[in-house]
Amino acid sequence: MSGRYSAESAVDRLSAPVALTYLVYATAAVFFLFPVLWVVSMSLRQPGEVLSYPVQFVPRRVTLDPYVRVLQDSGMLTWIFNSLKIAILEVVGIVLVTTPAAYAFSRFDFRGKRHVLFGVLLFQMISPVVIVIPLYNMMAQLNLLDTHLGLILLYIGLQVPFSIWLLKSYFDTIPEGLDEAARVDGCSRLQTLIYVLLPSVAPGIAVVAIFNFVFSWAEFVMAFTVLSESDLYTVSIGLFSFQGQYSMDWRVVAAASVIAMAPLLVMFVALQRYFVKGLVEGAVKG
Amino acid sequence: MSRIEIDNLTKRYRTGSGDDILAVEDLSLDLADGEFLVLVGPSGCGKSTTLRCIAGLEPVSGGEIRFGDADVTDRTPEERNVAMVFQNYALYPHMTARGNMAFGLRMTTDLSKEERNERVESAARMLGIEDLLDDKPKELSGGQQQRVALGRAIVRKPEVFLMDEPLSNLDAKLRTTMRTEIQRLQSDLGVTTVYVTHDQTEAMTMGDRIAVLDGGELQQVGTPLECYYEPANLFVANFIGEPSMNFFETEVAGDALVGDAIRYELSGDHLDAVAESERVTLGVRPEDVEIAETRRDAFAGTVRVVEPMGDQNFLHLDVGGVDVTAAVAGEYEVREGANVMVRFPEAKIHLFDADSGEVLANCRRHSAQLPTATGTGGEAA
Repeated sequence: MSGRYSAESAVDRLSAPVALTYLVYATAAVFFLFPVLWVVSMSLRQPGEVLSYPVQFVPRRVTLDPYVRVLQDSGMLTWIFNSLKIAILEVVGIVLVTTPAAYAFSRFDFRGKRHVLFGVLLFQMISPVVIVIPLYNMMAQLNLLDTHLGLILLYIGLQVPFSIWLLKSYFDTIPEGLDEAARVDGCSRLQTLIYVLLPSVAPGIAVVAIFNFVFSWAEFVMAFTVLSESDLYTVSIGLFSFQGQYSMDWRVVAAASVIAMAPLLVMFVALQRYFVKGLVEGAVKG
Repeated sequence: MSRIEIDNLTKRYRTGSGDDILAVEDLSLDLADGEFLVLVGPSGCGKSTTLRCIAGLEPVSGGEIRFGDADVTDRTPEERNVAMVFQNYALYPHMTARGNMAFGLRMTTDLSKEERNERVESAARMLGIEDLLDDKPKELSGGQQQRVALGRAIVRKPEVFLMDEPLSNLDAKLRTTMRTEIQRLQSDLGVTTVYVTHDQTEAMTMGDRIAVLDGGELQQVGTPLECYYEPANLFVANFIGEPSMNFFETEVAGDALVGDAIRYELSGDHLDAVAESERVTLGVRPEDVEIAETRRDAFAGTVRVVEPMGDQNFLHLDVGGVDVTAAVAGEYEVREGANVMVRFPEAKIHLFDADSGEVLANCRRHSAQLPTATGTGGEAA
């Protein structure tokens, strides 16, 4: 009897905190998922249902008409292609620039290192909106307005500080003994970086890549400033262009938003293993 | 394999505030081809810095390092053909044990993959890790990782082995096993080896010679027994030996050394040795402290703590306010608080100038040959 009693009380003791934990998870999930689900719901409604009262979260009759309109009547597929191109090239550029920079900041002692690092951090504090006008002038002088190259260079410039700091923290977690072992094993500095450190810092590079991909995909202000031709639009400006002068079909905007989200979600689900690993390792070791 | 010559090696570090820290000062050492030299000293004595300078991982501030006839002072580590075993092993986490061991060969030689594998497997057999070659470091125990790190050094067939406290992360039993194993490997391979440790037992048992460092300066270099029986100064006398040597601060008064705790009569050579000194430190090793049955030439002491080690007991005594350790046979049953008489035989004492710390006289060392069995080659008695 006493054994049964203690087993039951053990379950009671365990279940209360577990239940509370799941309640918190559920609340958080609803909080974050609700707007997304709302947009999905809106994209599937009949024309009259968008602003009807009482609110219908699940549409009475589902229609894919808004999706057809987005794909047939707008440049959505071109914009997605543009965004993909810009995001991938930006990520490649960022990784190429920040990996050696973060390695140097982590491993070398040089005069003014702390000041340079502080300066990099300071630049990160400046909102891009503040410098958008001088950046526009620079782009104009360099004939980079209305080019994807101009936007990619801007993104790389804006994201370098954050990415250097993030990646440096990953390099800092790798014991310098590995560098030394590699050098004794006959590696130059560059070979040490490529053969020994990069595999260890790969989760950090994955985090930098994903953060920058998402940034580039969602960025609006710079893209809106640099690009004016609709064929060059990115997804974020493309979504904005659905806004009519006098009226706006919210179902179409919602469908376009769902389509715009899809590539990001696919990429995140595919890479989430590396992303979480990178975040956890950075958190624990850093 | 090569001879290593270190001439007047100096290494300074600049701190953030612009001050210089002298890590190694004017160090000169000469290692014969195939010799096993142990650098030993307390933390911060400059032993690891010296090793890193030999490896090329630290640029030197002054002096010269030569391997054979080649001046390697300004060469990078990859140009020196050295192999190093690190304290934390520094195995590449993304590579298997085989990958770790073959990596140096891949970077420094033109050997084919098959040839590299052959070298790796030969080294693995030597270390008894053939079955672990396809495991990654995180799948290996500390001792296995240590063996892989040794294997990585061996396969390179380097001119010089450098080992930076390679046993300090292992448990006591494994440390003893690996100590013997490293000695055997070094002896088989005949590669000139510099081994850094702060553990004086390792230093005493492993090296052909040991170099004792303190505060960046070389205190003494010699065979382990030389450093034990003939320490060059107070630091070496205190550092080498476990438990440490006992010391008494005294002043020379006629034919005697007089201190707060003792009055010690000197004779013969010892009187000549202290003739130029005013203050003298008298040292005696725990195993040379005799428990006397009479009061003649003996000092009264009280047993504070007894440490039974099995084969012997360490008695921690209070002799006139000075802590004295005596090693006596393990069969003695000694109780704490007992009053005993201790004697320091004159042939066993060491005398140091208290101001300079330099040795004035060392104990008389008798060496004897271990009796070896002869004529046992199959002849029936």
